[in-house]
Amino acid sequence: MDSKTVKDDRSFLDKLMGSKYFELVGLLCLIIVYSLIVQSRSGKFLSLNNMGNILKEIVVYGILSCALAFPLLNGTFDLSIESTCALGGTLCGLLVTDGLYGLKTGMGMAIVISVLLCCIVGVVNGIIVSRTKIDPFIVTLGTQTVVRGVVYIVSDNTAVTQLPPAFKSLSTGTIFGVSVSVWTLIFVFAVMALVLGKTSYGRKIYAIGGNYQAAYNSGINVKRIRFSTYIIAAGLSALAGILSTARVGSATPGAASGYATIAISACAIGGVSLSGGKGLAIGVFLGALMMGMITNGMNLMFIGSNWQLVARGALMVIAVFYAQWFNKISNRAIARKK
Amino acid sequence: MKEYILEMNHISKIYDGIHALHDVSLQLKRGEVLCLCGENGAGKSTLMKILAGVETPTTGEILIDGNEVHITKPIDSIYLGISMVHQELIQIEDMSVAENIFIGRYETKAGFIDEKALRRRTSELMERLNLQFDPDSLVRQYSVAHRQLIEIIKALSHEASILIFDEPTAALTLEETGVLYQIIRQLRDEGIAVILISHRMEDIYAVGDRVMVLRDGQVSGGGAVSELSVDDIVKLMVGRQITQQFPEKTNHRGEVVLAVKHLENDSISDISFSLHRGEILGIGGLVGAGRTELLRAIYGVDRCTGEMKLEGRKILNRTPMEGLERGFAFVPEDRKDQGLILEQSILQNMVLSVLRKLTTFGFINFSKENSLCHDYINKLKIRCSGKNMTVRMLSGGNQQKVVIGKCLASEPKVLLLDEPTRGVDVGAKAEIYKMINELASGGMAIIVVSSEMTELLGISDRILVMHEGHLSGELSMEEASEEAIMKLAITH
Repeated sequence: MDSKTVKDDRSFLDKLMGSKYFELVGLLCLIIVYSLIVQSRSGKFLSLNNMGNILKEIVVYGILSCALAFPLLNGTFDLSIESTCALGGTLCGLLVTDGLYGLKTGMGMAIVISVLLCCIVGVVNGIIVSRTKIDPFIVTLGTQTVVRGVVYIVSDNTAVTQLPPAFKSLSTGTIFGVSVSVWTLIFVFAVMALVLGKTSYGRKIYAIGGNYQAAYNSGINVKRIRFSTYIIAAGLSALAGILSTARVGSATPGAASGYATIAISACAIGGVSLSGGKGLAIGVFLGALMMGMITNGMNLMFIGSNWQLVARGALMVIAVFYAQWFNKISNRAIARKK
Repeated sequence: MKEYILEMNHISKIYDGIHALHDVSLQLKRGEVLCLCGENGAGKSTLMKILAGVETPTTGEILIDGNEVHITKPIDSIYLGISMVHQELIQIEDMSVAENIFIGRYETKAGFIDEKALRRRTSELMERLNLQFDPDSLVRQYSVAHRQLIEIIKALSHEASILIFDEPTAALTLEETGVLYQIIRQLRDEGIAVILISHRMEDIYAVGDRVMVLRDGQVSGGGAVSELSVDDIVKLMVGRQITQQFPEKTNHRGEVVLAVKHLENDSISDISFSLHRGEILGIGGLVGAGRTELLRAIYGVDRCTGEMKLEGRKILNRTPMEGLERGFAFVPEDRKDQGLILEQSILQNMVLSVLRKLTTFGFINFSKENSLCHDYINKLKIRCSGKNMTVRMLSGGNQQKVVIGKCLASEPKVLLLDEPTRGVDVGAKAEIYKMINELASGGMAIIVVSSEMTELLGISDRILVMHEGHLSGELSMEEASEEAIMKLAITH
C-alpha cells in the first residue's frame, strides 16, 4: 500500500473559508453589528447583567430550537413541539400540585414522568413519519392540534397555579450565580453538540438528512434513526415546557403557542438547512441568541412589540440570505484554488 | 413538393470537446417509417433532441421541405410540424385527457377556457385514430399504453407532419404493441413521416421501411429493412474496435461464494447463477433489462423471492443493512442520487458503512476514522484538496472513487458494481479497471453491470446477458463478442 499521506497545506484563511463554521461568520457579524448599534443607543445592552437576562429569555425557545433541530437535520419536520412543550409544563405542574388523575409526586419525579409521557408524542410522530409516506409537515401539524387538545383536557381548561417554591427555583435558583434554567440550556446545547459532532448517531442523522437513499444504500437503519429524532424532539420540548412554567409561575394550557415558528426561525438563522443534512449546534445556539437579542435590544430602545415582530421577520430573511451569501463566497474561493 | 420532407445534413454536436455526433446526415420521405438504431450512447437521442429543439447542433443544416430552418427551442420544432412521443411520458397526471392534449393552447371565450370546444376537438382527433377515451377523465387513470396513445393524439393536434417515437414499445405488452403498430401504419399511409427509435428487432421488421444505424455518434450504415438481416443490423450497431486500456488479468477463479437461485420480483424473473471467489462476472443487456434491479435485489434494496447461498449458508437480504452485514457492498449506478451525500465531505461519505467499527460507546474514534479515510484516498488515488473537501466539488471520476472507497471500507466478500465507470473520464476509468482486477486477485467476488460492451469484454471473466428481466444467456470469454452479447440482449 502507498504510505504517502495527503497533506493539508492551506493557509488559515482558506481553512476557515473551507470549514463548516464559515457560514456562521455571517451570523456572527450580524450579532456584533446589532450589539454595537443597541449598545450605542442604550448603553446597557452589553452589560453582564443584561447578558444574563438575554440568556434567561432564550432558555425556552433555545431548547425548543434544539428539539426541532434533530428532525430538521434529519430532513424532516416537527411542528408539534410547541404543543408538546405546553403538555410537558402542564403535566409537571399538575404532578406537583393537584395531582395528575390522582398521581402526586415530588419535583424530581414529576420532571421525569412528564418528560417520559411527552416522549409518547414523539413515538407517535416517529412511527407515522418513518413508516408511512405522509409528509412530516402534515403529520406533525396534526399531532400539534391533537396534543393541544390533550393539554386542554388534562388541565381541564384551567391554568395550573400555586406551584411549590421548588418548581419556581428552576428559574430563580442559581448555581455559581447563573440560573438553573440557563445551566440547563447550556447543558442541552453541549450534549447536542457532542452528539451531533462526535457520535456515529449524529453522523447518521446528517447522512440521512443529506441523502436519504444514499444513507439507506450504505446500510444505515434510516427508519430507526428517523424515529429516534422525534423522541428526542418530544423529550426536549417537554423540558422546555417545564422551564417555561417555572419562569412564568404557572402552566396555562395555551402556553407556547407560536413557539414552533420561533424555533424554525432560530434554526434557519443559525444555518440549519430546512431540507436537512446541514447545521451545527453552535449555529442553533447563535440563532436563538439572535432572536433573544432582537427582543431584548428593542425593549431597551423602547421599540414596541409590534415593530419587534416586523424586525424579527425581516432579520430572519436577511440572516439566511447572509449565510447563503457567505457560503457562496467560500465555495467560490475553494473552486478558484482548484 | 420536394422528395424529402426532412433532411439533416452533416450534423455535428460537440459537448466539452467530445463529438456526440459527427457528420450525421438523415433523409426522410413522406409516408415513410425510418428506424433509428444504435447502442446506448450512440447518439440517437442527441440527434432527436436537435430535431426537437432541445439541443442545437454545433455544425450542420436542417431542411424541411427543401427550406433551411433554424430550430433553437422546442416551440420552433412544433411550429415546423415535428412532434415527439417521449419514452418517459411527460403528462400532468392530475389533468384531464383533453387538458393534457391542448395544454398551453386552450381556446378561450371571454378569457375563460372554452371547455366545449376543447372536448369537441379532442373527440375529433380521437376519431381519426379510432380511439375512444373520455376527454374529461384524468390521465393518471390510464395505463402506460393508453397514455402513449394520448401522447400521439397530442402530437397530431399540433398537425405534425413528422412524428418521432422514442422506444415506444419498451413498456408495452404484446397486444398493446400490436395496436401501436397499426396506428403507426395508419399514420404512415396518411403521409406522415415517422422516425422510430427502437432497440427491438421486432419493431423494425413490423413497421420499418428503412433502417439507419448510429455508432459512436456516426452513421455506421443502413438501408431498406427488407434487405437487412438481424445479424447485419447487430453488426452495424456494435462493430467497433476496443481502444480502451484494460489491465492484464491476474485474478484466479476459486470456489463458489454466492449461489443465486430463482430470484424473482416485479422487475426480474427466475434468475439463477453462481459467483466464484476471485471472479469478475459481467452482466450485459440493454437499459431496462433488469440488471440494476438484480443487483438491488441481491443487496437487499428491493425485496425479492428465491434463494441465495453465501458460502453455503442460506440467506436472502431484505434490507441493505442485512446485505452489508453479510459481506455485500453495492456501488449504485446513479452516484449522485443513490451513492453520495453531495454536500458532505469525503470523510463523512467514506465511513458511512463502517461507522460501527469506528466507534466506542457511540463516540467516533477520529484518529481511526482519519487513517481509514487517508488509506482509501491513497489507495484509490482520489485527487482532492483533503479529506474535508465537499464531495460535490470533486470530478465525476473522483466522486465514483469515493463511492467505491465507501464500499471497500466494509471489506465485502461480494462487490456489486452498477455501471462503475459511467460519467468517468478515461484516465479514471483505467484506474477503476485496474482496481477491480486487483480486488478480484485478492479473492473478492465481483459482479459488474455495464452498458459499455468494451468494458464488459475487457474486464469480465464470464458474461451473463439479461433481456426483459430474464437471463437470456451466459457467455464464456471465448464465446463472447459484442455481436454475441447484443444478440442475446435484444432477442428472447
